Amino acid sequence: MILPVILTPGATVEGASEFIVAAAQPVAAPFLSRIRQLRALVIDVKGRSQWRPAADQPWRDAKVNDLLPVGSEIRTGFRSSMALRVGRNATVLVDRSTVLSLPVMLRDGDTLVTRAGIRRGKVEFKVDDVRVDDLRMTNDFEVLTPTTTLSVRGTGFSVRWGGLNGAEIEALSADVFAIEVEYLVSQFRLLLREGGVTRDAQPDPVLVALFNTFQQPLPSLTEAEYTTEMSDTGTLQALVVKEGRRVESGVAGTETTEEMVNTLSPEVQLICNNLTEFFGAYRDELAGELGFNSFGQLSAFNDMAVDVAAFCNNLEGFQGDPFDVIIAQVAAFCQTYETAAEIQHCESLFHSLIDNALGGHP
Amino acid sequence: MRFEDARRAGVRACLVVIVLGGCARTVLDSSVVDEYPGAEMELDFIEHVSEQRIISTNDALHGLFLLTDGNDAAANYEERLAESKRRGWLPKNADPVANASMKVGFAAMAGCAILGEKGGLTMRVFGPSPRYCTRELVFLGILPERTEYQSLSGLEFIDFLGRLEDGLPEDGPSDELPGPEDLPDRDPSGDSHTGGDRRGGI
Repeated sequence: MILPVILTPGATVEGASEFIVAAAQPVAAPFLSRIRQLRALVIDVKGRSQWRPAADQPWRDAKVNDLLPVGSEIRTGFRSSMALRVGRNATVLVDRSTVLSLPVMLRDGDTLVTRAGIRRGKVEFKVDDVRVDDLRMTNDFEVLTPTTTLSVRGTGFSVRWGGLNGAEIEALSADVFAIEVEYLVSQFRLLLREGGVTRDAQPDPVLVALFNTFQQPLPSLTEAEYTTEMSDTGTLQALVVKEGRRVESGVAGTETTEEMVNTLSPEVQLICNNLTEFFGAYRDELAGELGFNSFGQLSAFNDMAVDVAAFCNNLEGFQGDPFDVIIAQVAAFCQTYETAAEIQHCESLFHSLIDNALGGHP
Repeated sequence: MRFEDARRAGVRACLVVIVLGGCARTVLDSSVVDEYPGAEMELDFIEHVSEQRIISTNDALHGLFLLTDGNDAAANYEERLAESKRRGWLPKNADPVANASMKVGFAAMAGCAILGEKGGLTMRVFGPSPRYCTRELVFLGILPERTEYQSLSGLEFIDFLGRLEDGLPEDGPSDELPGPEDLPDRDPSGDSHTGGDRRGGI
């Protein structure tokens, strides 16, 4: 296909192959409606790894959950690596002493277009066949090196390019799968439940790809669990949310918590007494109705749920309406959707859940 | 006759220049490590080294320390060279100039030591040498067909280090590095043996 991009005056050409450093720009109006630029999410960092959003920008140290825009460059040192989820369909492991650029990451209708340029080093690519919005996506994934161009259609391999032998292609190692699992476990502890995001109805291809990697969630992850520290008494070490009920350990001076929650409005009681079930249901509703566009968005949902849970656990002495605070948290998360209609739908799903649970209670 | 004499003199002069100049190693004005000495500058060091047409001995040793130790504790080239000899990366009587191009043989000898490669029969009997380490790494596919006297470009050297890293265990370099007592005194060129040393027989 012809890429809907033009080279800006800042574009550079490296070696025998063109590395399109310029940001992709639509060239015709008809493209505008169906092209969406995607980003890459850092899911693992080891050793000395840096990235920069463009060739003329300073390098910055990479961290897990960094979002890399189109045109980003990545470099790693010895015994270092960085793993990325690129767009919606690929996981990329940037191995030792590598320079990689990502000049194109976009969705064009039912095609996911990605270009990855290896200036030197070793990179592993795992490209998944995915469905987005009930559409089976076509992968247009190309790897550019100074001497070769490789096309990937739904498989994985490792590309090494160096000064000694030029381009070499090897089989995919297990590292990419291991990193996907590691990231998944680290990010979604709160939300993993059996029969949750692994359902066929789950439309988020990123999660489907990840769960395909290691089958079903582990039994130990099927219970939502988190801990938080409370500073007021110095003796309450942890508060554990388990199966929608709060269980306190090392309690001293916080015995009023349960009673206090029961004096709150029905909405707040519903949410705070059923944190895991409520946000699990909300997450499922969002996944079914709107989908999650990226790991970052699902991570934001996770953060929002954790924040609300922490708020519920510290209601004592709170002045004002707790429900307003919770609604504000949800509204802030809903802003991660792109269109106004999606944002409104995200918020209305939250209210619908409450209304349904309370039997039409306002 | 006068023209003939002048022509012969010119040919002789050219031969002298070719022989003397051809045998000398390229010496760079400076090394990249002089500008990026710290471990925290590793990525910039790699970036700039990969753009060098020739890798200097100083830069090569710094790169090897970054690969194996994660940092370079040596304050200058002399310390770097001494530590390299202690680790068996270079022959004990080798004395390369800091900014002179690194011999493939020296890089290969360091590679053999880092990977713990013992080589074939000749290398096991006579100890590691630039010549046979080069052949060993060519055999292993880490180096392409090269001789021990050739030089490496910066990009080639970074690729070489990457290939060494691929051959390393997860927890670091080989524990079986040859100590100084394991290394025979020999000519730095290591050109004291003849014959092949490919694994499987001479």
